[in-house]
Amino acid sequence: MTQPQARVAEIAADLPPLLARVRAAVDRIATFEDEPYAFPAAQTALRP
Amino acid sequence: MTGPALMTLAAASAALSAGRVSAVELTRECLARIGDWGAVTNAFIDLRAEEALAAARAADAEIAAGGRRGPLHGIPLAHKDMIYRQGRISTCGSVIRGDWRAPVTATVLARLDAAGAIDLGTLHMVEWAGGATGHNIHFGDACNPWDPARVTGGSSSGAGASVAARMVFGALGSDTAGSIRLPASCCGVTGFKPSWGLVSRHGTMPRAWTLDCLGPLARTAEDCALILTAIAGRDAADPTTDRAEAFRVPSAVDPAALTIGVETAMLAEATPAIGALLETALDAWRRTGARIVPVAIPDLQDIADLSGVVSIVEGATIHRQFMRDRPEDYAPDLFGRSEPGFHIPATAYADALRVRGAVLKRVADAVFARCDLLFAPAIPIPVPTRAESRIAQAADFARVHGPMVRHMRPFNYLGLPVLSLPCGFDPNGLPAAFQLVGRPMGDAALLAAGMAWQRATDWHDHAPALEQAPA
Repeated sequence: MTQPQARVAEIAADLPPLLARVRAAVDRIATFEDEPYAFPAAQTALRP
Repeated sequence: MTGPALMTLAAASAALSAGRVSAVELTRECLARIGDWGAVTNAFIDLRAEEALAAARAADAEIAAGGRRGPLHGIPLAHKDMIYRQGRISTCGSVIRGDWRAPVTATVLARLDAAGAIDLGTLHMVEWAGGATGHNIHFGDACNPWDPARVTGGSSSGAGASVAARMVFGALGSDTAGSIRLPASCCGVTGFKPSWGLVSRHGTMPRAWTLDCLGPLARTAEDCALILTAIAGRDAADPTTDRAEAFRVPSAVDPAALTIGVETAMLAEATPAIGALLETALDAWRRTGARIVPVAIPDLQDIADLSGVVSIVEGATIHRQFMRDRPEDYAPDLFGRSEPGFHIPATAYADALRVRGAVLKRVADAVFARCDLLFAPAIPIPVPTRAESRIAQAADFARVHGPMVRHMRPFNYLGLPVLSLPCGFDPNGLPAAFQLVGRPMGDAALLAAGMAWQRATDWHDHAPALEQAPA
């Protein structure tokens, strides 16, 4: 196995647990209304 | 040490204003140091000495006529080779762009030009800004001026090395997962990753749009603030800056009025030697009168995972065509780390984006309700050698690169401003640093605190000597 193939294989093996953790985090944190454009609004709202 | 190139940017600027030194003298001094240090560090990709001297002569004439434009007028800088200047080659650290000429000039360069800064040329970087150390199979490794056998940190490797060796007064780098802070930490200089949305990225190479920031590396927080004054603010060509306000060098802050939260979990991950330096830095903060309290960033593993998804997907998207057409022109490890981005579901990527605001609010509630600024390690391990951090097999990446970026990456996802401030030397004589993290868009207050720290300490005054750098 070449180095890129080995690296791809390693990260590919990491992907299912990574995606499972992301789903769990989103299930815990997100609300139905959350959207990407909320981030700049949050930055602005939280500015000192 | 003497000589005008050894001054801070602020001191050199004051000397220029007072007529004690000229822009040509400053530029010649920098060129002389590049002559001494350039080959040792491999910091420059394209040195433009004659153009810089011509610009310096023009600056001197303008200043002599009473037309000094501001604090950067006549000050020699250089920038990471992914910040475009129209008609000039920007390699982005890759042979794929070895002869590619930029169609536009980056907004940040146009603003520095307007401020009268002198551009000495382009600086070494990691291939496509995709690594933490400063290795580059196409252009050779960047070497740390404190010990060329050790890494500079990356991906703004030439920026760290050139500022540390006093070849330039400051440099622009980019930071997607620590690429300003890592070389600042490894090379013992001050690095500033601004809030996401404060500095335009127009005319620069993208690495991951959601996380990318441009910012300065310089000798002090004050110098970083002076550069930021020129480059920050709204730019119609980069809509992420729509909310950015003009930036001014902050007025002094009384450290006794500050509460600094220490991220205890991150601190616990430092090796004993680095941990001792961080404790010494905290003691120095206490002596200034600042109050130190323990804090914990909630959801730290979640933030790392969400950031990873965003970074991998956006990187793969940006590189899809080059990876398809010229796979042999990628470092094997970089190709291998990028390819999995094609296999992440769109919903996972969208999820990572849509919770970003909520995650930021949770962090603000848990951290910034208790303190003004957050203290965290920069790199929790001593600066590694180039040999031990070369990636020969997949496991090498996790062994060295993982610890180097672990405490950096979360702040890109959170979009927070972060300073990397030098705080001592590890047992091998290489610099160590801590990160000081500000509130969302609290860049000015953060820089003011960094300036207060550097008034109370002198780690930023240390510079490598050539005799320390065996050829």
